[in-house]
Amino acid sequence: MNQKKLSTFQQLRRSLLSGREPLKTQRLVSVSAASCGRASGALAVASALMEEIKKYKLEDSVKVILTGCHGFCQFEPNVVIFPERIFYPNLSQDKIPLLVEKTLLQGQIVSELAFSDGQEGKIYPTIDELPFYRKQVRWLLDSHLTLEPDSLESYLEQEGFEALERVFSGMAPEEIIKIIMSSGLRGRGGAGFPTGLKWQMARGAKSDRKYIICNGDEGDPGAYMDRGLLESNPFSVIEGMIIGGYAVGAEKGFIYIREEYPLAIERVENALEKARVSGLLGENIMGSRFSFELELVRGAGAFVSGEETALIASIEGRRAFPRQRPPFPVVSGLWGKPTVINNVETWANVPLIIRKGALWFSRIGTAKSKGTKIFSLVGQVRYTGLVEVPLGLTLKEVIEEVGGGPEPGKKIKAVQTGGPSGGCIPASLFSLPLDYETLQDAGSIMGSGGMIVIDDDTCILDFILYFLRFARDESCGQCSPCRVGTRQMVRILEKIARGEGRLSDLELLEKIGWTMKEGSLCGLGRTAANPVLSALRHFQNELESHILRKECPAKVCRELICYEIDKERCTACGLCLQSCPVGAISQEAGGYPFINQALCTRCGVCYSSCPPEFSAIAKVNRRQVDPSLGKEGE
Amino acid sequence: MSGSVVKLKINQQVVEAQAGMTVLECARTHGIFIPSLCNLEGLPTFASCRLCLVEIKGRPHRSPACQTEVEEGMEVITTSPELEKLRRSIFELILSEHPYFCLFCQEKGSCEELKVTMVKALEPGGCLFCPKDGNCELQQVADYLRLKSIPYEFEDRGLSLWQSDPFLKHNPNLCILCGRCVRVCSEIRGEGVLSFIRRGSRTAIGTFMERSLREADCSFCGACLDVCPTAAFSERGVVSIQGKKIYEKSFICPLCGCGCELKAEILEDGSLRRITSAAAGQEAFNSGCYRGRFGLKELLVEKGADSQPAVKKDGQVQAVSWSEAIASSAGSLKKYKPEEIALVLGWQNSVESQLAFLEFGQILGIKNLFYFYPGAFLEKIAFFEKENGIKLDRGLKLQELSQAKTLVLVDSDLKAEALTVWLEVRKKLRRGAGLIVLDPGLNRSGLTADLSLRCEPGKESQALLAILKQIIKKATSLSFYHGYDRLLDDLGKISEEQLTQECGLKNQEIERAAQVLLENQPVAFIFGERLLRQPGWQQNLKALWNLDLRLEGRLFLLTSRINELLPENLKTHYGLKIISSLDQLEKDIRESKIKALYLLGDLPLNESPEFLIIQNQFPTQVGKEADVFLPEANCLEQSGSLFDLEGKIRISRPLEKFSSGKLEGQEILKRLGEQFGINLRADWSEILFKVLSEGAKERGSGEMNYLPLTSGAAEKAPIKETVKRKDPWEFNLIVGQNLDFYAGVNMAEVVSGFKLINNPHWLWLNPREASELGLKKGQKVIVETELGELPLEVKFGPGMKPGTALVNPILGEPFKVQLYNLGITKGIIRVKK
Repeated sequence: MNQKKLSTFQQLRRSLLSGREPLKTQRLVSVSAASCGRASGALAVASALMEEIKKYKLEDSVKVILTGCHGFCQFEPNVVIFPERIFYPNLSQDKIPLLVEKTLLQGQIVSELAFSDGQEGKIYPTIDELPFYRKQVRWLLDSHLTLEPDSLESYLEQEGFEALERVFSGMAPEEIIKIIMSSGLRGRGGAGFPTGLKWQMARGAKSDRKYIICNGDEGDPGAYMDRGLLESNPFSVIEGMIIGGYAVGAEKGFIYIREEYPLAIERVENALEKARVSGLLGENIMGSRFSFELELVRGAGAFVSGEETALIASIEGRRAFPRQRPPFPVVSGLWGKPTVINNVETWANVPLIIRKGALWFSRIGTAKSKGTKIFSLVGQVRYTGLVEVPLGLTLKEVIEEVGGGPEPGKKIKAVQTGGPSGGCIPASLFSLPLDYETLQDAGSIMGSGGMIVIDDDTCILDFILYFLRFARDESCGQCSPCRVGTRQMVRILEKIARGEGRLSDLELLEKIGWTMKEGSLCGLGRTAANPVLSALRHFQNELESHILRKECPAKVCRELICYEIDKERCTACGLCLQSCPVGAISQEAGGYPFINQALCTRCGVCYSSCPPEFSAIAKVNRRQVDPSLGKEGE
Repeated sequence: MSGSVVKLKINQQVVEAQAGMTVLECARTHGIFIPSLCNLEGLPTFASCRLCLVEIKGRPHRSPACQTEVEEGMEVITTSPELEKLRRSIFELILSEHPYFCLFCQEKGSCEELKVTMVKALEPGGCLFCPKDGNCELQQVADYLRLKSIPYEFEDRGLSLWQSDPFLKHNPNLCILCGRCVRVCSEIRGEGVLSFIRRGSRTAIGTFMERSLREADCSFCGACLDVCPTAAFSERGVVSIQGKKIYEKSFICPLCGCGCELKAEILEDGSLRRITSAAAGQEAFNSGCYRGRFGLKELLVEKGADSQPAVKKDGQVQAVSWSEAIASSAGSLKKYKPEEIALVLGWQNSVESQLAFLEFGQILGIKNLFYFYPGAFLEKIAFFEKENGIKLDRGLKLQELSQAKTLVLVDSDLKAEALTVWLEVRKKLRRGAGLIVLDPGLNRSGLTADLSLRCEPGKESQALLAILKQIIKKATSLSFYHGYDRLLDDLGKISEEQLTQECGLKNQEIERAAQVLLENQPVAFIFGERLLRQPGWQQNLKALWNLDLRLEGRLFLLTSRINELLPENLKTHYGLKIISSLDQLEKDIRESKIKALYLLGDLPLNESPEFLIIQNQFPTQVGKEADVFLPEANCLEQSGSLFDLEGKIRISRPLEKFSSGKLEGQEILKRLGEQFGINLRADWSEILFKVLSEGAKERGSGEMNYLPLTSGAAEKAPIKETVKRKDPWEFNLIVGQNLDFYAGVNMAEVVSGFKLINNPHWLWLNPREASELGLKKGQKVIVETELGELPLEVKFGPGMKPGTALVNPILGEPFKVQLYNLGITKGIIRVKK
C-alpha cells in the first residue's frame, strides 16, 4: 500500500535469505521425498547419498535436498541433479557410490542409472527429455524439484510470497477478484465452479464474519494430487489462502486435511507455524491492516467429508452429513456465515495468477477451461504418476504420450476420470479434449484429477463394481437414493458377475442410476451412479455378454471363467499342483496335472505360478467347460 | 421477515403463505399432499427421504419441499408423471430394506390362514406381529403412490435387535433411517442419546460406542416411539390389537407436579394396553416421561386390579362387601372420642377426595387433622415470608419464564423433577437463552447448561453471595430497593476469598456467572425443595432473594409434587396441621393418645394404633395391616382435580366404560358419613371455586426489600461454620429428589425398569474416588448416618464431585422420613464395606 509496507517483505527476505547461495549456481541433488518417495526408500537413499558425499569431501560443493514429489511416482526413489537436470530413477543405496563418483565427482552421466525406455532401449539422461515430462506444462509441479517443503527460505527464494507482496502494495480486494475472474480459473475440486465468481459472491454477502476453507479431504481412490501439493509446496496454498481471505474479507481460514495424510499434516503445520512467526499470518500481516489466521483441521477420513457442506459440518464438530443446497456456503456456510471453500489446487493456483497475470494464465486451455490441471495418472499405462497438463489436451495425448500408452502387447480399453463420481470413457473417445464440459458430455467428470487407465485385461463390470462398492461403503447414509441405490446397484452387478443376471437388470440399473442422479441430496449421491451409467452407455456389449453368453470377455469375473491346462505347453513340472490352496489339481504319475473344476475356486494362484516361459495354464470361459452354467438366462 | 405474507404458485394455483414457511408446510395448509417420511411437524428438517422433492421453476435440481422456504413469486410443481416416477423409484429403494410384504399383501384384509405365521421373510412380520398395528406411515406412502410391488428382493440387513433395555426396543431391520428419532432425541429432548452410527449402507441408528440405552444415559422419555414412522422403535409388551377395539381415556398423571394429561388405551376386556401423551402431533413428543408413560402403566397393571374392601376379623384379613366395610369402619370409629382419632391426608389423592375427608373430620369434631408433607417446602417458605415481611409467588409461571433471557436453576433439576417445564426451557434455549445451574449434585439439566456450578453441598448461600458480590462490583447501576446499604455492609464483612473457598467454586466460574447474569437480562431463578433441606436454609433463601432483587429478576419456586400447591386457605379453613415427619404421631400412638387412625393414602408408619383404616388405591404393605382397607379408585379410574406446579387445576374425567368395583374417594366418605348421619356433598366444585377465589384475594404482596444477612432467625454470622470430612470414607451427603413414589408404592419395587434407571438404593459416588477406596460398581455397602445404618449399593456417577455422595431416597423403608427431610444436621455420612 505504500513504501513502508513493501519494505516489510524486503526485510523478511533480507533477514532470511542473506548468506544463502543463489539457487541457480548450486550443484543440487534433489531427492523426491514425499509420501510415495519415502515409501520406496527415499530417505535411505538420501542418507547414503550424504554419506558418500562426505566420503569424497564434497559437502561444500554439493547440496542434497529432500523435496516433495517429483511426479514420476512409478520410478521412486528418484533424484534430479542440477544444474543439468539429470534424472536418475529407481535408485537404491547400492547405486549411490556410482552416482556420486561418476556424476558428482567426475561430471559424467551414468547411462546405467539414467532412465531408459524398456522397449526401445533409448536413454533419456535429463528430466526434460523424458516422454513422461515432455508434454506436461508444470506450472505448479516444476517448483517441486527444487523446493524444500519445510523451508520458508526456500519458498521465498523461488518467488514465494511475491504475489502477496503485490497484493499488499495497493491492490483492492475487488481488483484481485477481477483478476481471478478474468483468468478463467475454475474450481479444481471437481465441479469447476468459476473461482472468481465464488469469491465475488462471498465478498458481496453481508455478514459480520466470513470464512475461507481449503478442502484437502482428497478421497478418490487412486488420486493424490492434493497430497502431492500439500507435501511439496504447503506455502503456496497458504499464500493463496491469505490472498483469498483478503479478497473476500475473511479473517479466519481452515485447512481441512484427512488424517491419512500424516506428512501433509506435518508439513502444513510446520508451514503455518513459520508463517505465523514471520508475520505472514496473524494480526496485521506484514504491517498491513489485514489480519488473518489459518487453522488446520484433521478429517477422520470419510469420503463424504470432501463434499463442501459435509466438510463444513465436520469442522463444526458434527457428523459429516451434507445438507441441502441452496443455501450455498457462500451465503450460509461455516457456522452459518458466508464461506468460500476451494480445493488445494485452486488455492495453489492463486499466487501464480496474481504473479503472472490473468492474461498469462488464460493463454492456455480451452474456451471455458483455462490453465493447467494436475492429474494422477495411474492404472494400466506404461508411465504413471502426478502429471500437470494444459487443459484442452486430448485424452489421447495424456494417455499415449505422457503415460506412454499401453503396456506391451495390451490394448487400452478406457479411462476413468473423476474417481467414483466419474465415468469410464472408452478409447474410441480419446480424441476428446480435457475440459469440464466435454468430459461431462461424455458421461464423466473432470473431478479432482484422478485418471485411471484400464486395458483389455480389466473387466468393465469388475471395474465399476469396485467404484460402486466404494460409493456404497462411503455414502454418508443420510438420503435414501444414494444409501440404498448404491447398495442395490452393487447387488445387481454382483449378480451379473456371477452369471445370474438378466437383461432387465440393466434397465433396473439405469433406473436406479436415474433415481440417484435426480433424487440424491448431495453431489456425491448425484454422481455415484456415473460409473454404471457410463458403462451402460459405452460398454453395453461387455455387460450383455455377462448376461446373455455368461462370458466375461476380460476373463476376470471368477464365476464365469475357469482354468485349464494346455497339455501341449505343459512340462508337468508340478508347480501348479503345489500352489493350489484347495487341492483341486491332481497329477498321476507320469501324466499331466488335471484341474478338478468342481473343487476349483478359480483363485488364479496356479495361473500365476506357471512359469511364463511355459504359460501352460489358460483362462477360458467357464461355459465352454460347464454348459449347465446360466441355463436359466435369456 | 416473519409475519409478512408471500404469494407463490403451487401447481398453477396462486396461494399465500407466511414468510419463513417451507413449501411443504404451505402445500399442506392448502390441502395439497406431498408425501414425506423424514419430515415431521415440530422437528428440524433433514431432507433425507427425498419423497417430497418438487420442481421449482428456475432451480437446476429438484428441491425437497420440507427444506425449501417459500419465496415471493416462486412457482412450484408438486406432482407430475416424472415426479411421481421418481418418488416411486425412491420409495422402492426405501422399501427394499424394510420387510414390505405386509404393504402389498393381497389378502391383507381377509387372510385367516397365514395371519398368525410368526415369520414372514425372516421377520416377525406382516399382519399380526407388527407393533405398528396398521399405523405404518410406509403404508400411507405406498397407497399414495399406488405401489403394488417392487423390483427388489427383500434383503434382511441382519442387524441385531436392542433387547437389553427396559420399556422399549429397537429393531434396526425395520428402520428406514429417516432420522426423526435422532432429531427428537437431541434437538427437542436435549438428550443426545440416539445418533447415526457407521456409514454407507451400514448406517444405522445407535448410541455412543453402541452402548445400551441405559448405559448411554437415556432417560426413556419415549419420544422416539412417538416419532418413528415404522415399528423400528416399539414399546415393550405392547402387542398388536388384532383389529380389536380400543377404548381411550385421558387422565392427569399424579406422579409429579407437571400434571401431564395422559391417554390410556384400554382393551375391551378392560386391560390396560398402553399409556401415551393425550396430546397429538408435536405436543406429544414435547411432553411425557418414563414415570407416567411406562411406570404408571406397569404399576396399574401390577397393582391396580385389587378391588375388594377388606376387614380384619380375628387377626385374618377377609374380603367383604362395601356395606360391611363401611359399617365396620363406622362402628369402630364410634367407639373413640374425637380427640383419640387422627385423620392423616396424603398429597396424591384427588382434591375432591381430600375435601370430603376433611369435611368428614371437621363435622365429627376431630382436631387431629394432619397433612403429611415430607420436606415441608412451602411451610418453610411461609415461615420465611412471615419472618422477613416478603412474599414469594407460589406457582411457576411458564408464560413469565419464557420472557427470561437467562435461566438459573438452584438446587432444582427440571429435567428430573419437572420435565414439562424443562421442555419449555429447552425451547427457550434453542432460541438462544442462557442456562446456569447451581447444584452440588448430579443435575441432569446441568449437562446442557452454559455454566454448571458445582458448589460444595450446603454451600449454596456462599456461592450465591459470591456471585452477588461480583455483580455489585461489576454493575454500574444503583439499586433503589430498601436495605441496599445494609446489605453492602453485611457483604463487606465477608471476603470474596472466604466465600469462594467455602463454596468450592473457582473464581473464574463466579466471575463468568456474574457476567452472564449482567449481560443477559431479564433473569429468572428457579429453586427447588433441596435448597431448603439444609440446616442453613434461611441463609440460602436470603442470598437468593437478594441476588434476584439486585438483578430485578423473577424468582420461582419449583414444587415438584402434585397437589403441592393445594391452596393454603383450604388448609386453614379446616385447621389442617402440616407434618413433615411422623415422629410425633408415632409417639402419640405409642402413648395411646391416639387410638384410631384413618389414613387417606399410605404412610411409612412404624406404629400401629388400636384401630386403623386405610383408604388407598393399592393394598400396600401398611394397607395389609389395616383393620379396614377401603380401595379407592386409582388415578386412571377416578375423576377429579389435581393442582399442578403452576397452581392450576387439572381435571380427570370419569372412566365410564369399565367398572372396577372400586369407589371414588369422596363416594367412600359420603357412604361413611351416612353412618354418622352426615350428608356430605357430591359436588365439590363450588367449595373449591370459593376457596380458590378467596385465596387469591387474601394473598397480598410483600415488601421488596433486601434482606440483611445478619439478623432474622437468630443468625449472627453471615455464614455458618461447617463440618469437614475427616477421612476418605466420610462423604458430604446430597439428598436428591425422587418422585418414583405413588400411593404408598415405591415404584422401583414394582416397575422392573425403574430399578435399572433410578434405583433408590444407589449410593452415587465419584468413580475415581470410589475406586481408590477399593469400591466397585454395584458393591453393597453400609452407610452410617446420624439416623442409623442404611444398606446401599455403590453406583458410579462420572459427574459426582469428589467428597460427596448422593442418594435419591424414596419414602418408606429402608429410608426414614428424616433422611428424606434431611433432618440430619451434620450432612456427613460414613461408608463401610
